Amino acid sequence: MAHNDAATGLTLQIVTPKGMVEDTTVSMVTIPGVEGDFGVLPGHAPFISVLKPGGIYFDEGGMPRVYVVSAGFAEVSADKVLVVARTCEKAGDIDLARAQKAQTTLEASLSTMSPEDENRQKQEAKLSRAIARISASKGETPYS
Amino acid sequence: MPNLKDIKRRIGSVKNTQQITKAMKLVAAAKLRRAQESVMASRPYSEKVAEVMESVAMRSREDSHPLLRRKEPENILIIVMSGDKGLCGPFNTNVLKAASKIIADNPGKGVSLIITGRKGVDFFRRRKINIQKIILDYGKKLGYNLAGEIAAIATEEFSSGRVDRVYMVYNKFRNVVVQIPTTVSLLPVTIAKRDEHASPAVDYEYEPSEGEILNEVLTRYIESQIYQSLLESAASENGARMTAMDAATKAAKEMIEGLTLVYNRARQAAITKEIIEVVTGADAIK
Repeated sequence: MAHNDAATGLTLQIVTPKGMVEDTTVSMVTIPGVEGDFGVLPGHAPFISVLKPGGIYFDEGGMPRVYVVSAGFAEVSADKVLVVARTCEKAGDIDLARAQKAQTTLEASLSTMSPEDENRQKQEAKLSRAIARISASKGETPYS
Repeated sequence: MPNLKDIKRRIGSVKNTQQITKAMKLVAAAKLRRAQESVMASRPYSEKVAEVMESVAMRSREDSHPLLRRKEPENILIIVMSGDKGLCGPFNTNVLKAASKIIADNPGKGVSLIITGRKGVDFFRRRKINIQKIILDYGKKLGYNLAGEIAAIATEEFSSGRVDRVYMVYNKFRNVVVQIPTTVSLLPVTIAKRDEHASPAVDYEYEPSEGEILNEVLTRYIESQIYQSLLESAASENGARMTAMDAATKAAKEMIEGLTLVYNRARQAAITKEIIEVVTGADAIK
């Protein structure tokens, strides 16, 4: 792995059931893992993480790019990041008003739901997806 | 002598049928194109999921996840992907035959089914086989969520121990003319034997834990397998229907040609007969 020059960059692939969304070379990428967002640079130790709904952030040709993913996992090896997501959308394509509306309705329905309700988990997952969409489309990065 | 009016009516009805089969062929062709695009688009996903699943599962023990556990089957579950409609050649028959073969090969074992499409439901209802879940009109619902729903039932049945083996039968799409009825053993998940000469697997770190990763990856794997098969099955159905309707259109064309020939002959005969009558009449007056 030592022969991997950091300057060669990192291959980033994002696949969803609808096809390969992104296949590019980046210098760094931030990925929303279940145990917190993590940044990947070339030469990263190989590991696999389950994803939580959130944004994937990277630069392409100096331009910041953001994708929002839902459930899935990411495989990281020295010079390659593979994100396998159930859904993935470009931050620019997100309907902010719709996401905000979803957030309010979900929050309202969750506040009245009993903790044992079997639908609770699903609703909570939906809520976290809505929140991820909102923050990504507002252009918020995990550091801001 | 055949009645002229009858033949004409016959030609008209065959023409109507031909128009219908032609329209169905065009619709099937359009749907097929869309289905084929989805099959192609989903392929990288299935491949990548399978790749990661193999590499993770290879490094874990067989008993590390319920979906990998193998035991003598006593109860089996079969996911049967048939269609809602007929008029598509051997599409439905093939898949139902393949499913019946699994049942015949497992005598004395409990069988339950998950069926997509009305044809499969009708077939197995008559045979009084326990149908766990029916999905009708799936052409419209066809998407990853449907695959997720089926996968959830199958994995739940398997991990709870109610079934010990899950099969999936569907028509694999080769091309418009050729669809191959395929049986896949879905659960327990089978992992290809490790290649002795392959480079030693890199040791991965797992976040949050090996169990969680295995769970996530295996779930996605099952889902993607079902999703891919649903898409292939949809493509096969439309391909089979297109071929069948093309043949039907051609047959109708031949039939119309034959009937037109008979019609013209009969018309000719009628005219000849009339002329003879006129001539005979004229002769009688002389």
